[in-house]
Amino acid sequence: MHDGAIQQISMCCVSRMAVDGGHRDGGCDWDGRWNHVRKFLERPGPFTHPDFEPSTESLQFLLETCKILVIGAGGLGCELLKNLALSGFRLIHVVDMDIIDVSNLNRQFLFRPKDVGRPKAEVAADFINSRIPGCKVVPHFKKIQDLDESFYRQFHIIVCGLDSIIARRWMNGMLISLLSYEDGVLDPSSIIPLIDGGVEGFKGNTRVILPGMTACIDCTLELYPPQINFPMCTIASMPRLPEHCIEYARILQWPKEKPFGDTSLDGDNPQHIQWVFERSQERAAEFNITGVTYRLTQGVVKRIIPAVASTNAVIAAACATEVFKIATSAYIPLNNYLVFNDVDGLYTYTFEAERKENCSACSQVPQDLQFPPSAKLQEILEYLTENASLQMKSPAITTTLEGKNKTLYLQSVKSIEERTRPNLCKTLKELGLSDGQELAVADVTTPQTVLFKLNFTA
Amino acid sequence: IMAATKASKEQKYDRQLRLWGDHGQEALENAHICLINATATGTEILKNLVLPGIGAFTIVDGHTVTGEDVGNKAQAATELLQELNSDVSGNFVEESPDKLLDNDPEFFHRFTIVIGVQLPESTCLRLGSVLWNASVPFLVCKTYGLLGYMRLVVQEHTVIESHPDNALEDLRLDQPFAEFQNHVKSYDLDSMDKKHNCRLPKNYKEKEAFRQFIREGILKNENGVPEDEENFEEAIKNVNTALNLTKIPSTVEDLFNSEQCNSITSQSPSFWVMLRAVKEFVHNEGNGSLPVRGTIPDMIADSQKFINLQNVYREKALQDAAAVSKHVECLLQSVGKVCKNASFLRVVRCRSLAEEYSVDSVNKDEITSCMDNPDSEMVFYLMLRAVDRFYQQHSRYPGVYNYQVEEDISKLKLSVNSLLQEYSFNNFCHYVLGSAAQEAIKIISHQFVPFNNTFIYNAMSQTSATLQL
Repeated sequence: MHDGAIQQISMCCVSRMAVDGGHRDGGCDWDGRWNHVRKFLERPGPFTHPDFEPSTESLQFLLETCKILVIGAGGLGCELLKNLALSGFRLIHVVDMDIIDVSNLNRQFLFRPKDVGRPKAEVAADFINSRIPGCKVVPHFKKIQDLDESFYRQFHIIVCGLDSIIARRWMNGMLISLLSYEDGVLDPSSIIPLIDGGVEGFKGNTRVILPGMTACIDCTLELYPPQINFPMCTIASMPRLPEHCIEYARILQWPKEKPFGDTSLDGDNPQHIQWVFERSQERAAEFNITGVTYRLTQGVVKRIIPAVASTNAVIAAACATEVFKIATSAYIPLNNYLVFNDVDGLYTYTFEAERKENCSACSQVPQDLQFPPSAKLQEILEYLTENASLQMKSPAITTTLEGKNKTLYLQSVKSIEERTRPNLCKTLKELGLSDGQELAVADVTTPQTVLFKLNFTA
Repeated sequence: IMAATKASKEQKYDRQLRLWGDHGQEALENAHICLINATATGTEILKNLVLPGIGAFTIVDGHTVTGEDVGNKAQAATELLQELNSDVSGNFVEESPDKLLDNDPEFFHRFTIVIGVQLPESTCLRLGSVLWNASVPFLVCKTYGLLGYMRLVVQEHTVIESHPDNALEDLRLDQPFAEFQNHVKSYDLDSMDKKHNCRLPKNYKEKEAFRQFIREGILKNENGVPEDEENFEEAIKNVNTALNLTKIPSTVEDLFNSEQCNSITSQSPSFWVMLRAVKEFVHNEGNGSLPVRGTIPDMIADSQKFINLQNVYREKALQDAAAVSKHVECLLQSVGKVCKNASFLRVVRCRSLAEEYSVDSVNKDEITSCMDNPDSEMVFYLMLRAVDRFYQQHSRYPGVYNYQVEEDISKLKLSVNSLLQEYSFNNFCHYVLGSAAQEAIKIISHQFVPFNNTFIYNAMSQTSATLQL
């Protein structure tokens, strides 16, 4: 997508902002407070956006009208809130479903030891609101899935600092569902730009997504290879690594021995981890495997990703810069994916991720399912979860048969799962499905159902 | 109380301990960092060092408050930063670095690293020279609009644990050591090297033939159809990466040939002593190869066989390390690490600021070749140098006040021209801050490799470049 198109979209976002009203909140801007920001917005330069008109209005938008949503108040979220607030944004909402843990304190700097146990979103908002005059951060101690269309629609830009691909895909799907088309043409004012940041140890990335126009999260799903889990036979009978011993204790021994009654394993409970640690050591001793430590045990059980303050600072800065650029149209935004790595020196790489023509999230094209009529429903289920471009977690498949809505298989509700389980062993023909039949699939990775078209092969 | 503090520190730092280990954390906690100029930039860098738990910091700043810098005076900054981590002790000195150098030239010698933010060129040069001679690493940082700049100034920085991404395994399949050969003989397989005179398959054709050779080893069932043998499939898949030649990387060869390695004295830092011992090993017990690393990748096998194989490599590694330590009088732990990381040892040497700035030694080649590419970040480097020049002449930065902008543009052009002329060039035009902290951590912990020596980040295009100037 070339710069001209990006330019167009940013201008639309700005004009949308111009139309929205805003209330004045004077009184807390001392002399010279926004000088550093003014210099960007009130002067032209060789690097500014071709359509940029320096004026005092951009600063006004920033301060009074522009509404930003920050998803996540963790490592990236704290940095993002700080950056946005210091750049002049005042109407900020933040969503996070977590509470503060001691292990957050090495980088989530809006939190103090006394805050452990409190909701991240609330403590973060309190901190910013009390330290940065004029800034109003509204916290939401919720899952993103608990909020609906009407909530997300109110924002000009959404920036994510999430730690889960599923959540990213859900957010991505939500913004795509807000798009409106007139006679098949996308209405630019229905686009909410999504800036997505991710970090892992010393690596990170930032991307700019204009839903419906540029590559979305699902277009580049292959960039996130599926998590590798150890094969069950290795865990059960042929362990070689300390990790295999830990998984044995977690997956096989815990459900069998139920050491704390019917409670499920809680990675944040030190007693639970201690139990897994001890069982893992026993298992390791049996096979002469060395290397089981408490730290490793916790890491495997909680799937811990190492993290430091610096990577979060870098990626959040890159994201906040993009928010600023788009909100003010002062510079051409990132087009559209930045990769960062500081293991050896400092490495950054920027490229344009391409849209996928038949993307299951943003292409509006019904997805193709090619199976023979003799295939079992189980095979379709496996395809949906294992295919690299789909990577669904627990898809629920429904269709319309004889004018009525029929659930073919659904995992998330126990009674329905039991009732529909026999369908998995039936063939598509036996289930009454025909060539060209549309299947609607729901999954945690998307807020909307994905439509598939069944294409019978020989 | 000691145990409780230690436990809570382990919890707090858990996520970063998984990156640089307890010994890396210890190095951080023993460090005393100096920040010069508590600007927004400076305090942001320091925040990213205080959070991971450096031992102490000292802020040096002789400036007063303006409207933009929300309370960022040395004292206020110190208090705010200390709030972030009660394990860290903070101090401040309300004095300019130039004054300090006048009155107490050895003031800066006590620090593990000095970070200078928005320093004028003359102060950089003066301080740079003092720190160079005192062997104190110096990190220069500047932000200017949407540009970020970092320059690392350190004479010699050694890295044992560089933690490379995607390193090849050290399996020695081309030069199996005696113990490995004996171990293999205990299996009921034909020896692999009979056909090709102990040479590994080199090109695609040979590797395909090798894969076919493996395939033929798969058991067949009654109908002559090969069984589903996972371990054979895995072997075939890994032919490319497992069959690499055992050789000493050129980076390590260069270190072996360097003067520090060959003239070991009682003053030599331990890194060079150990490196020399490794070199001696290579020429003796190692028969031309580095000490065996001792780790093998996980592979499909039954537990007993895998553990036994793993132990063969582990024991060889211990043996080699013992041989190296005979050449050395150092802590056994350090030697073990040097052996395990022998392929990945790195040394970073930066040019001094004096060399960079001086007309006689400026890196003209690097600058001119970059300028051939119109999108190169080099243009920003020159611009930043010109901005420094401007400051030198007019005692302020260009464009601070709106009414100055027009006039300053032409003055700045003059600065750019004077810089270019001096270097006789005929042809001719919040992120860095997180990075700055991490580079400082690399210097302090001696883990991971720092950049060498200039880093420019352009937030407008979200691109960056590392230049050696």
